[in-house]
Amino acid sequence: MISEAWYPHRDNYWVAAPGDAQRPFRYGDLFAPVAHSASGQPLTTSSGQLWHAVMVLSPSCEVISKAGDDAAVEVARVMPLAAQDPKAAAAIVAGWQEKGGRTTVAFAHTVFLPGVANTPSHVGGMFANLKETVRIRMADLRAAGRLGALDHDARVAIIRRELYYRYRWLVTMEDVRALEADRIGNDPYFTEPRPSWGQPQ
Amino acid sequence: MGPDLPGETLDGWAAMSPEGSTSWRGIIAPADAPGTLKNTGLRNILRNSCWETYSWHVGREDMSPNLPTGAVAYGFAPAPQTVTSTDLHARTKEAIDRVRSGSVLAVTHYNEVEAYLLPAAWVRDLVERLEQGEALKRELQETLPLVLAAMQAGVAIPSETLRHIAPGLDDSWEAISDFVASYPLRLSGGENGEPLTRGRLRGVGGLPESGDDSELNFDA
Repeated sequence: MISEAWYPHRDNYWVAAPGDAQRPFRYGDLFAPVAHSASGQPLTTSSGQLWHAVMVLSPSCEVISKAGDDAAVEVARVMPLAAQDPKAAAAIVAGWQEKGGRTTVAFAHTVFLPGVANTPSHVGGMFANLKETVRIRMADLRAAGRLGALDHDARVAIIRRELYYRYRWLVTMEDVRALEADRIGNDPYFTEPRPSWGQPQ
Repeated sequence: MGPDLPGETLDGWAAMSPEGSTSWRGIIAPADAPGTLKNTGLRNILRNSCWETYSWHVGREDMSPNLPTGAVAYGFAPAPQTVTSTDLHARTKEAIDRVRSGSVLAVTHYNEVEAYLLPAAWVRDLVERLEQGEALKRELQETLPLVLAAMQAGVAIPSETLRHIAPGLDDSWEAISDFVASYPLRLSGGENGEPLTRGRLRGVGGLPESGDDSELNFDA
C-alpha cells in the first residue's frame, strides 16, 4: 500500500548544522519574522507582536538566481502549534483527522513544520498558513535570518501538500519526488548539493 | 412520512409518532436523562446508562409526552398493515394511496407475508443507506487498525474514535508526528468528506522561461 500520509518524520525536515550553511535559500525554508511586507504592511499579531516566523513559498530559483535586494519573495505566515486547541493541533500535525470511521484531510491550508533544534524560540511545533501569504523584500528576509533549511525530501512533502491545497489534487509523494528528480537531474544550473535521488541524468 | 433517520435526536415523543399512527415498532437507545415513560420496560431502558439497543413494540398510549430530550430513535416505522393479495388486486389504487400516505402494507397469500409495499422514497432511502453502510464498512476496515495501533502506542492521533475509547493519551506534537509519519495511511475524503481526486503526475521535461519582476509594474 502506498501511504497517503502527508509528512516525513520530523527528524527529516531541517538540515542539521553545519550542513545547513551550505544550502542556498529555497522554497520551504523557515525564516525569522520580518516587520513589514514589501508593500509596507505590518506583519504583526493583533496584539502588536511580530509574526512567529515565515516560510518561503516562492520557487527556489526566485530566491537564488533572481534574488536581488529589492526582489519580492512570497512567504506564508508561520504560527506556533502551542497557540491552538490540542485537537486542532493534532490534526494539523497529521494533516488529517478521523471522524466516524473516515480519515479525511484536515485543515488543507496548513503545513506542519516541526521545531528547529538549537533555535530557542522555535523548538516547538509550528505550521504555515497557506491562506496568509505576503511578499517580502529579499533584503529584509536575509536580514531577518534563516531559522531552518528544509531538506529536499521534506520539500517534496510540502509541494504535495500545497498542490492539494491549491487545486485539490491528491497525488502521491512518489510522483512528486519523481518530478523533482527529473527537474533537478536535468538542470545543469542547479545549486548544489543535490538530493541523492536528483543526480544529473 | 418516512422513517426517522437512524440516530436522529428527538425533542419529544410527538416527533416520533405521526398524526394518526397508533403503533410503532422500533429500537430505542437510552439517552443521558432517565425517562418518564409509563411503560416500565421502556422506562428501564432509558434509565440504563449503557448504549445497548432494544427492540420494542410500543403503543402510543404507553408513551408519556415527556420522553427526555436526547433520546435516540433508530429505524422507526409504523407497524405494517396487512392486505391480502386478492384485496390488493381488487383495490390496487386504494392500497397505493395508503402507501403514499406513509403506510407499510404486508401483502399476504394464504396468511403468509409474501411482499411488502413501501413508499418509493423509503426504498430509495434504504438503498442509499445500504450503499453508505457498505462504504463505511470498507472505510472502517481501513481506519480501525490505525486507531488500534495508535492506542497501543499510547499516542493521541487526531481521531474521534480514539478519544472516545482511550482518552488521555500522549498528545504532544512530537509523539503524534512520529506516529503519523511511520504509519501507512489511506485518506477517505477531503476536508468536508467530499470524494478525493487522485491523480498521477508525469514529467514532460524542463521548459524555458523568460520575464522578470522588474519588467512589470506592480503598483497599478
